[in-house]
Amino acid sequence: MKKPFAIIGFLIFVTFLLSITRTVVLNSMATAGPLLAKVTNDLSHYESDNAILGEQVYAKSSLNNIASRAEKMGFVNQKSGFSLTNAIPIAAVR
Amino acid sequence: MNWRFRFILGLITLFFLIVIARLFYWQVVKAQELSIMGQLQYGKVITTLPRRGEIKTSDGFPIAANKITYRVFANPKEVKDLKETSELISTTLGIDIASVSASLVLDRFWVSIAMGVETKVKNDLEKLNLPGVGFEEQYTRFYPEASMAAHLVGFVGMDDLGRPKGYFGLEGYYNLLLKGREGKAIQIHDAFGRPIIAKLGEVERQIDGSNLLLSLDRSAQFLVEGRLKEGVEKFGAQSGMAAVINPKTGEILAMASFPNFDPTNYANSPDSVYKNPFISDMYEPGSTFKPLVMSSALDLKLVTPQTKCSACAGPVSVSGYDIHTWNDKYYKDINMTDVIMHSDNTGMVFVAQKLGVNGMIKYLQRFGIGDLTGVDLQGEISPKIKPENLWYAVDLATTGFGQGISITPIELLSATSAIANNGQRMQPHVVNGIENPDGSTVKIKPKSLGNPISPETAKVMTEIMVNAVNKGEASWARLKGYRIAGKTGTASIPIAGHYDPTKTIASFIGFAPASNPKFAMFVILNRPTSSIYGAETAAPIFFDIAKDLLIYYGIPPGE
Repeated sequence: MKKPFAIIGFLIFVTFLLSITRTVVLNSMATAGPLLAKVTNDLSHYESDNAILGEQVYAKSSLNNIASRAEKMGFVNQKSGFSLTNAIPIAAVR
Repeated sequence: MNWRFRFILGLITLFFLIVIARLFYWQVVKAQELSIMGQLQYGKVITTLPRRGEIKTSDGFPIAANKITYRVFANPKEVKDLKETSELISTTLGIDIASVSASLVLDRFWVSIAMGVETKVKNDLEKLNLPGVGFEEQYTRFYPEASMAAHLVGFVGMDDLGRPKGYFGLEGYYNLLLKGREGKAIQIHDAFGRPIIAKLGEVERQIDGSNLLLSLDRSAQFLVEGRLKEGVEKFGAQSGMAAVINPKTGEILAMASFPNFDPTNYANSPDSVYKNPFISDMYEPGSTFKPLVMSSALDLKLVTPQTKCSACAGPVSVSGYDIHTWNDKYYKDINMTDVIMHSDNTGMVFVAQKLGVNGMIKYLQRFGIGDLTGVDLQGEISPKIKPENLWYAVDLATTGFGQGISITPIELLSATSAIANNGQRMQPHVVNGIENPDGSTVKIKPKSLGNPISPETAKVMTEIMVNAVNKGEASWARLKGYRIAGKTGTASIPIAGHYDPTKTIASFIGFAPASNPKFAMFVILNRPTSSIYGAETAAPIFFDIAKDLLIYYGIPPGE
């Protein structure tokens, strides 16, 4: 019976190759950790900044804020009706 | 020999079955429990709070949003100079130094110093680089329009476990939708119990709250609040409220009450102002109730606008009680149009007696009186109509002009909106749609609550109410050029078995433009002091608001 040297050799080679691959991948993942943490932190930071800016936009565009600023600038309330959209056409009046 | 083989085989099979059953017990039945036990050996379950849903007005502006604030915490074991650290923290945060110092002397690794700290204050404190002091980001409710629509929106407080919970108004009614679902994650810690990474994995995914899309018109709300506040101060009223509704859909466009509160600092206001009086206070409506009784009699064809009142020449005596008109003026053979125009109590007794107790109860129920309107706000109440056998003749007579019966303002506004909407009553509602966290939107369709009166009766009643505005006591305040239907109300206030002789609830209800109503509105002043009459107090506020709204909606005179 012929001994399966080729198969045994192949299996040893595959085992060795997979070990090397595993070491490389783990090593790569280990060094990518700080990068991943940085990306996560950056994302969290941007989300916080976005929320803070959103809050400022809402506060500045509130009607209470706009009305008080308008009053300071001398704007007054509209006293009479004026409409460009709902006017009755002359033809319809006749 | 054969039976021995079988016996041994049976024993071995039984043994394996026991092993399989035991494995099934540990790996399937107890799997989750064992998994959690394992996880707890190297970590602990932490709860992640979802972001609360926003409440947006019809223009998409968030009237209730979330903002980032910080919890300031400290590790007392790392604090080097207790006195200096306490002083700096207390000065920067504006809190009592004794409470800071009391927290910092505790024999713990972590103590909470303050919550809800604004970003600017946090940055100031961070710049001090105090050892052992840290910050935790959290979301807090934020109301960009401050106290606008406070009674309608409600506020967010804490539940028994210290988690955010909505109370009153929309925050209370839609709390389950707004709050979302908490997430759970495993946090790994080292041998000393210190966390080494933020999350191992999510056990349960956190689901943010849904946003509410309101029918509330922010500009209309702003206009109504401004005019109402002005009116409450001008007429020296104890309080006031107003609501504007689209009678065709039941959408609430504005709802305001004074005094109100700041939802962010709700704890600074007395508990008594939290409830929304428009849905939670009952009162005797007085003359604003007359259109409902009159339209009931018109619908049953018991009277027509030209029917003459045969009992209006003087005070009416019912069961020993004399019923007078509000100004003690009497009009012999007055017709029904003029009964409403003069707000004649004796005329309404005539109408109520024609209706009878059965007809009165039947129509009031059709108008939704005595039932919850179902408005989507927390805290609605509804006083019940008493059973038919408990009605006395005088009850029927006084109900005709809105005394001796208690209702909520939302009930009356909803019922009067039916007159504006060709006899069809729509369910009042504030939320038009729900925006889910995945971006999908669910629309909420308007719901009809029935037709208390026919379209023809509604048209006739509208004309009677237009006549009341043009020629009645409040005609001085009316808007020239617009056809507005309305009715004044001056209701007596029951106290300890009798009516207060000096104080009233003044009100005005109506809709505009009368032929194709864009809105129905109800204004109420509680105990005005400059005048007790609705025609002199609530009516001018109503017309001031109506003018603003007609201009805002671009409705030209003549309609």
